[in-house]
Amino acid sequence: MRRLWRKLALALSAATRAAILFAGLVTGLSGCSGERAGKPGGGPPRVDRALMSCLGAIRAYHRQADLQLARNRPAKAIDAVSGILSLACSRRSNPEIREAVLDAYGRLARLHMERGELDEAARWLAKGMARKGPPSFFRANLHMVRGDLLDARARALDKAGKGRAADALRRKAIEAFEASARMNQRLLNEVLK
Amino acid sequence: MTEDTKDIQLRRELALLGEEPADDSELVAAERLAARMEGALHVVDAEGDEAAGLAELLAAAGLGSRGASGKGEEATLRALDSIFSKEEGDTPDVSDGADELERRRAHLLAQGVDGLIAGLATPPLTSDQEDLLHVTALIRASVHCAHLSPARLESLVESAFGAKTTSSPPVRRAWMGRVAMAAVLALLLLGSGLLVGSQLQVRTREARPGPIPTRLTSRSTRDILPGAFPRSQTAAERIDIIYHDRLRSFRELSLGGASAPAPGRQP
Repeated sequence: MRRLWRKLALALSAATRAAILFAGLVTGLSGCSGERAGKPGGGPPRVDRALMSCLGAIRAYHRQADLQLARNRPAKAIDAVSGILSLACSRRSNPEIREAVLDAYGRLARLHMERGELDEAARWLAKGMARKGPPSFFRANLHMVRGDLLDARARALDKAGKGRAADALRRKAIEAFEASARMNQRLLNEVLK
Repeated sequence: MTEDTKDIQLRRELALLGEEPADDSELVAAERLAARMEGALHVVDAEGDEAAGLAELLAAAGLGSRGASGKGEEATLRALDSIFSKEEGDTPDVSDGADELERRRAHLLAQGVDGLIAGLATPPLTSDQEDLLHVTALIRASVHCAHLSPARLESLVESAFGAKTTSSPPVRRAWMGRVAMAAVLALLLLGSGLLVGSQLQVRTREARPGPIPTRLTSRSTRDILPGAFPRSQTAAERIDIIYHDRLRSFRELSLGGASAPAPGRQP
């Protein structure tokens, strides 16, 4: 009887080890399969609910900014656009979101520029340019905003009677527009291939 | 039976009863008692009260004066036999002396006792003798420490430890059997696991959709917002364009038919 129990215990021990091995094997295989199924072909992720939610939120903030501008409240509009950058989803790696966030930086810079807050505009612009990412039409648009900002500074220098400094800034503005045009042209060539 | 043999037998019996060997005075008294039981009552004097009492008891039983023809040993056996028979209520054996069969039985019993003491095998005995031998062994065990002969000790040790030494091959065989059983079980489970895993993989491959069209993936907006943005275009308008394009893809994916290209759209 004792031997029988001992044999039974040993058999159960062996069966447990084998079951653990089996479970690990099945889990591993199913995990691999699930990973492949999540990204078909290993390509980019499909458009999903999270992406749409984030794009919808960005869109709503821009709509709020439009309405505040219509009410002649540019500060509120700036607050609304700043809300885009405080979104948690703004740190996602989806290309659409990256580009929309760059556009928000550009809009913030323009809003400050329209209020004569050139330094604040330059600060937001620098933040946007510092964001990592591949070349895009939105990054090219930031170069355009930089050119506009340099032009605004040059006009301010002209008013202050500093013609030479203003001229130097206008040259830099032209370089910024050229940089934007080069990036746009390169991207267009890629799109049209 | 010689006097020395009697002496040895008496010592053995005393040893069986746990008594010390008789000294010379006790032996002399025993001889006198034997002589008295054989009829020589005149030899007994007043110095042995106990012996005298026993002799009178034997005489009262009618044995004292009738065993004169036998030897001392036979008379002793006969007297003892009659005493025990009386105690048990049997009819006393009043034969003149022990016959050849009784002597043989006595001899066998003595051999059995000797063998028991020496730890050797006992000769074939009758059931009564075996019982007597058993009682003798019990009395001896209760009175004396067990002194085992080297041969007996060795046989006991071998019987105790020999079981372990002889059982090692079966233990090894049992372990091998268990290991083999576990290995077979593990192989079976591994095989079934591989089978189930491959089936899962096949099913996943079958259920897995083909590569989804680019228009349904998350990607750059360069295809819907190409080139430099017009100055008249606001950020809100751009996000509207992006949102509506992706919403179309999301609806297509959610409502099914993701593999079929939307009409009028390039994948």
